[in-house]
Amino acid sequence: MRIPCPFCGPRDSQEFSFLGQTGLKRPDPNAPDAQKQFHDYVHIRDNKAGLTKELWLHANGCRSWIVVERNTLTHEITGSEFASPLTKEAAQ
Amino acid sequence: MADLSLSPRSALAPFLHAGHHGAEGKTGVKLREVTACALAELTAFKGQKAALIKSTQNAFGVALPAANKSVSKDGVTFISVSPGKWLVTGEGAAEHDLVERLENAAGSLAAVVNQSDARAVVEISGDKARSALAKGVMIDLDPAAFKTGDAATSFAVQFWITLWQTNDAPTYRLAIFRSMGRDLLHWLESSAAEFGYDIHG
Repeated sequence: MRIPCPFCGPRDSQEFSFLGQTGLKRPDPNAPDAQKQFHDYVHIRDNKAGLTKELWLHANGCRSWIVVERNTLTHEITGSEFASPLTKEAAQ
Repeated sequence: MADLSLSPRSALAPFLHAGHHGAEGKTGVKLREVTACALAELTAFKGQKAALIKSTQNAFGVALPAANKSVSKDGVTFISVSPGKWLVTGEGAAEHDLVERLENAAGSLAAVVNQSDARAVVEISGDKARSALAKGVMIDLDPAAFKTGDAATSFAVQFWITLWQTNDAPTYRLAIFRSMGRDLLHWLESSAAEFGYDIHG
């Protein structure tokens, strides 16, 4: 599988390491149901069949965190962008 | 006080045996360590990239290269390694004042980190250099895809490398962590053996 790095261009997936789904928000530890919220935050994932947005690190390359849009049914990658606006600015 | 000045020590000299190796009667590949070479990493601070490009242009006479590119002038080579970050090598007169010149140019626009004692640079050239490298380097080195002046940070046989092409011979340079130099060299030599290779001390 090839992943299009927004900085380096298309590279073999072996250069990347996978973190997982984007958009997870760390719960408030002081909330009354903090324990349940943290359980979901750590363990519960959408596991979508179809288009997903995932965080990948170009560890053996430019070392940028990127968000990759991938279809889990076809493995088709339809887009990638820098995870951080700061990285995006530095890349321009 | 005792004299504490330190002299540079080659990362690979103990493992480089000058002479001809591999297949007899042909030399497809030439290998050497680029010694007398200072290394530094230049990282633009937040929002300062444009100003840094201007400042280094004034100090070194070249514009910092865009992604996947390198530029050289007067013994100083800038290699783009990640967003807002460049690996810089200095040879000749620049070996001795590279870090100081970079710090002066960077001012409060960028961080300069001396990498001379962290990385080693290996040069591989000859008409079979591309074939020897291609056995382990994960990027496409075909001239249609990778030309003189092109650069990449990538992966070669388990090692994180910075690779750039310096001429059409072709000649490539690889910057590697120096503690991994012996292992990378072992792979390079195995890879080059079928083409016959010379090591220059």
